[in-house]
Amino acid sequence: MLRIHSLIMLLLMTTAMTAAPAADFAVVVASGSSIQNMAPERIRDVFLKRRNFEGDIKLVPVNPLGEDQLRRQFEQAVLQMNRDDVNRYWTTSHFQGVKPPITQASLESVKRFVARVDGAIGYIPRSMVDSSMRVLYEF
Amino acid sequence: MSFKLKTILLLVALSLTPYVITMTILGNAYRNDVESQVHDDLAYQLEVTLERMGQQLESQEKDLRFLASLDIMNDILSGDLDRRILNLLLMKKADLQLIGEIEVVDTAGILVASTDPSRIGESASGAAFLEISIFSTFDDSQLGQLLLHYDTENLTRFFINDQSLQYSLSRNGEPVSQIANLIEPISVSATLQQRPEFTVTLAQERGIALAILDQFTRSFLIALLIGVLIISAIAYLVANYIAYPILLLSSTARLITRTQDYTQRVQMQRSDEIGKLAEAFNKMVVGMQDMLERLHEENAVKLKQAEERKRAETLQTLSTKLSKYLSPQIYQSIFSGAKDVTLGSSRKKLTIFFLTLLTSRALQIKWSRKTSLRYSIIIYVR
Repeated sequence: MLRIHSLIMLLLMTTAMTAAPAADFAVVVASGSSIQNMAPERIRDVFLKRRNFEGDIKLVPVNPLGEDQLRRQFEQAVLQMNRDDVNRYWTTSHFQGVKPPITQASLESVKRFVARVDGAIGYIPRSMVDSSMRVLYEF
Repeated sequence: MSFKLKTILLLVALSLTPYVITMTILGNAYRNDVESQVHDDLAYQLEVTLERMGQQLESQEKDLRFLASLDIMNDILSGDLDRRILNLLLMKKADLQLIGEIEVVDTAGILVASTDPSRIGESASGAAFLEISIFSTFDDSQLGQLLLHYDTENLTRFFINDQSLQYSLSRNGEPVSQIANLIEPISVSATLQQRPEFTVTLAQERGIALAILDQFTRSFLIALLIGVLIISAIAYLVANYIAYPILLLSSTARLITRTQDYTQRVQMQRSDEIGKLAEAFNKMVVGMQDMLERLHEENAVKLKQAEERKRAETLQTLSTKLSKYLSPQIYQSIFSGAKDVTLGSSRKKLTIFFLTLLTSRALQIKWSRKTSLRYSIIIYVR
């Protein structure tokens, strides 16, 4: 009986491990950046413009356009906000003189922007990451 | 030259000279005023045109500066991969109805976006009409420049030319747009305040601009001629009024001189100095007439006296001669008036007497009855 139970548990765990999504997206900076890694909370602060510097480096967060699916996933997973929360947040921040991160119209643009601009930080599908990128966080 | 003609000419000259001078001065003043007005109108029209051109330039520059300040310009860093800058430039060019190109170059001078997409990726070339620096919105670093290549047609399209009114544009003294040949143009020029290298000239044909002046000149000359005629007529009448009594006096004096008719008078009903002169003349003529009449009377008297004196002398001579043939008593009686003497004839026999007489005077005379009757003087003594 115990053996069967253990077997079922192992099966469930195996199933659970198999069903858990692999990290599809990555928060990246240019490969030449001195930023080596960044905790999700700090990434959240950076993209909500609560934190602008990492050491001496001025951080430049860059988003895809608002309707981009990846952005929605990022906001959900990293910012832990839905679209309405995000809009409400930036409306409030706007009156405090804080502008939302700049945007790029495509993920390719985000990648190129991050690769070219020192301090730029963005997120792209994991499959797009190449040697010009350094992954700080995956989700 | 007669007094009347002199008076007329003098009055005409005196009245016409100030009139003509005044009219000429007024005409010239009006001409200058009209020319000045035309010049001012042209200057105002040019000013309005320049203002519109300047407003467009300012508006375009503001629009482009606004474009350069947009977040989208950060796409320069991504090489405008998504063509957002390009689309923005194309939209703005259409919006401004711009003749020319808008370009965005990165800091290396490579065209990132251009309204002429075929030039994207090339190096920027040629002097731009307007250069606006583009800065990133996240760190104020310069990302590149927004360039405006501006065709001067954008400016000349404000020009509304016709046959008489012509705009022309020059850039740094070099003509950009040609102007049609105008005959004796009146022109005004002004520099575009926003772009001092541009000068706009507005010219108008003098003949057309001053057409109203030509009309005025015709009216002026007609008015001048009418004025001259009226003044001449008035001067003629006034001269006549002044000269007539003088001429009348003169003609009357000449008539009196010629005819010696001192009954002539100057007929004039005036109370002024001329009237007094005529009155004095008439009095003088009356005086002369009276004097002449007196002279005539005195002459008549003197003539009569002379005749009487001559008759008396004749009688004296006769009486002296008769005294030889009359007794002193008879003679004395006759010539003292004591005896009346009557001339007559009667036949008396005084033959001896006559014989004596005939013997002494004219024996050659052949006497006859008739001749003795004809030549004999018979004195009766009563």
